[in-house]
Amino acid sequence: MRMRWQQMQRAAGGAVLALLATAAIAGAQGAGPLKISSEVGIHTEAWKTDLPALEKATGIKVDLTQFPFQKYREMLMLDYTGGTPSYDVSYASYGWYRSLVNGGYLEPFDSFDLKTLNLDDIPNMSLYPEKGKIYFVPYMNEIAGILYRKDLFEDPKEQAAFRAKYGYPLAPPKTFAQYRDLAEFFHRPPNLYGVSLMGKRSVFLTVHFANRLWGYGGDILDEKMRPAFNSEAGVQALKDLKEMFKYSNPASPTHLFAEAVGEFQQGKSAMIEIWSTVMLYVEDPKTSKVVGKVGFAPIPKTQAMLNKKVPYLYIAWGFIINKASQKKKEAFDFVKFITSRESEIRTAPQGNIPARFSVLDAPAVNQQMPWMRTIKQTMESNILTPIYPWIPEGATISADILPIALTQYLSGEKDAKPALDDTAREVGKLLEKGGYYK
Amino acid sequence: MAERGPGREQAGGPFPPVPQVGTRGGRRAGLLARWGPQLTLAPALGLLGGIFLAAFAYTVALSLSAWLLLRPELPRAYVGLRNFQDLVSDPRVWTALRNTLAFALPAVALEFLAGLALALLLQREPRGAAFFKSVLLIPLMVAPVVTGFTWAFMLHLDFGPLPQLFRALGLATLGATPVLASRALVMPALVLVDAWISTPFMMLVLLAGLQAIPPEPYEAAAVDGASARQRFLLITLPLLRPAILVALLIRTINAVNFFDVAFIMTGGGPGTASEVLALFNYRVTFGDFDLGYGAAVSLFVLVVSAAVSLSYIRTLQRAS
Repeated sequence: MRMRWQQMQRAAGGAVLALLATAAIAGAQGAGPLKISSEVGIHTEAWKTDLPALEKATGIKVDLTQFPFQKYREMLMLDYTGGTPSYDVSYASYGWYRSLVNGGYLEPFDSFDLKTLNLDDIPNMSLYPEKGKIYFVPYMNEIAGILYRKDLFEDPKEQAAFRAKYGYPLAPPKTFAQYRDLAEFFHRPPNLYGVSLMGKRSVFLTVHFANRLWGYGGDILDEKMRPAFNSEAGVQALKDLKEMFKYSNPASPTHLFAEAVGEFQQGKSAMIEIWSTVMLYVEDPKTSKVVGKVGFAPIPKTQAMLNKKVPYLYIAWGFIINKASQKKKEAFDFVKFITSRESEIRTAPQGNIPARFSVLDAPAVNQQMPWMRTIKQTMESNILTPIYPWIPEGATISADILPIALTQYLSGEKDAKPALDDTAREVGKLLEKGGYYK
Repeated sequence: MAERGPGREQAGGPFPPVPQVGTRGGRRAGLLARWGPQLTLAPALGLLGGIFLAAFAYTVALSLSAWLLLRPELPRAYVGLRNFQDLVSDPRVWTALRNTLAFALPAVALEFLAGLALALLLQREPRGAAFFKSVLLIPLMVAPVVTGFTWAFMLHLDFGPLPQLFRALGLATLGATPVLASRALVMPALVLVDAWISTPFMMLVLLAGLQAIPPEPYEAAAVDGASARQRFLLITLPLLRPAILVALLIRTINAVNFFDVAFIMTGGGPGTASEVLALFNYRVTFGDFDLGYGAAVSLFVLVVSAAVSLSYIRTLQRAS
């Protein structure tokens, strides 16, 4: 009897140990859903709609955490570099991932079957390899552009009045001069503004500046990584930008993305200088009063650059895999599924500008969003250029430092050249600390 | 027979024996009586002090090193006082300090005057005093982020009520200016918003101070024929000095570290017109991700807070 009791005790103890060991192994192998971080935004809402299909096809369950854009970069950097990362996969801006690569925090997609990602279908992939490996796979590509009110531009009375005043036909602008004329013509406050702009100190204001800087032949950094935005082209671009604010809402200097887009959605402006995702916002009948009335046009150029390829604002968001993840294969399968041609065709109408060229052309997508063709043509006929200089400090330069110079000039604190020169010194110090000038 | 200690002759009574002076029990009781309060507080103080000292020591260590989070492949390196040398020669720091003083001094002064006026009114316990006290405390209860968004909305040119009010009052220029994008108006706007938030705190502290003043000096002054002004200047203010010191100290330290409302309403703009030290510190630490320099700026902010606070204490002590 005593022997049997002792045997039972040993068996029970063994079973408990086995259970604990299984749990430990499962924990080490990362049991549970795939943990993903993302921003709060329209393209995340788009790929989220395909998560049920993902689970059905692959069995992968996802635990998604979303952060507001303004805080997301900070959260991502601190989480990945903090030593105890929380996520297997992150949806991130193209400007953020390179410092994580340099620190050894990301897993290259080359560790898996890269061919199955079919990356030839995604433009500008030559931008992304670091030390010959791919660490970032785009899900969303988009470009800057002018959204304009087709109903106003195609109105015969407006056309006659414009031609009478300016001597050429009313049409979406091709040059900066035409853009200014159109903004002036349609500027009829308080019911209609010529153009919606984003004037608050932020990366959005840098977008307005960069659109003109490149158009005038300038750049943010030169080939030696020295600040180049304080050139003649930069001064002219800044003065051009200030001129355009005359034809915008007087509240524009306090506007960010949401205010500018909201203003255009409510029909309060004839144009908005923004990027292609906003076409999805203005076609949403739940929030927009201009559904079906909006066209997309490329950012204008100077007369001299009209038939030439110029740097053109291009933005991408995509996926990165955490090197510390216990579920790297699952993470790769997730990215493969969500960035596949089939998934992007399904999710584009839900709120995404797809990264794949073949999807921009797909009949199923063009039926609902015919303006996708214009986006593809614009991408093919310009030099797609990131808003951030392509170094780890790039996002800091475009999002934190440059906007200071721009708002100092726009608010009258400094003249254009001194504002840009002072900021160039600050950028120079940042890059010197980073060891770029050794 | 076993040796008995003192007091054992009293054993068997209802109360424990009283330790006698000079005995071991007596020495223990004396220590407890003398150091009891400190010993009771020691664990909590030790924990708080430990956390503070550990964080402070880490910040000091960080300020003596170069650590760029954007370049994790570059090793952390000890650089001595280089971050502090950079700080001294960085014009952005002095702009931020100027902005901080331009914000903190008028904000605290305005809150003090308004808080004192409200406290004097409420001290008389007018009808509805309890209701007014509750309403006046509402700004203190609202989260700073909510306050920032709400005031930014109220100042919006298109749909904010304040520009419409300015226009209705004939202040056409003010009603047509985006206040938060105006380098002349942005700081006064932030001062007024902070006054809205923090005047209730001043009122509470000063009201408590007023209610603690005994009535006898006022009775004696009335007998001597002192006027209301004389009673206020010669009795109320001097006796209120400890409460004034506490209120000004706390508010000044908070004002020097002003961050959340400015972050939401202006982000430091336009240009650097509203970039106070805390916002500049945030930009360096979480924009440039320059953790060493950010730590040096944090210590500089601590020194500024301490300097301003000490000057208050000395001024008020001299006046007493």
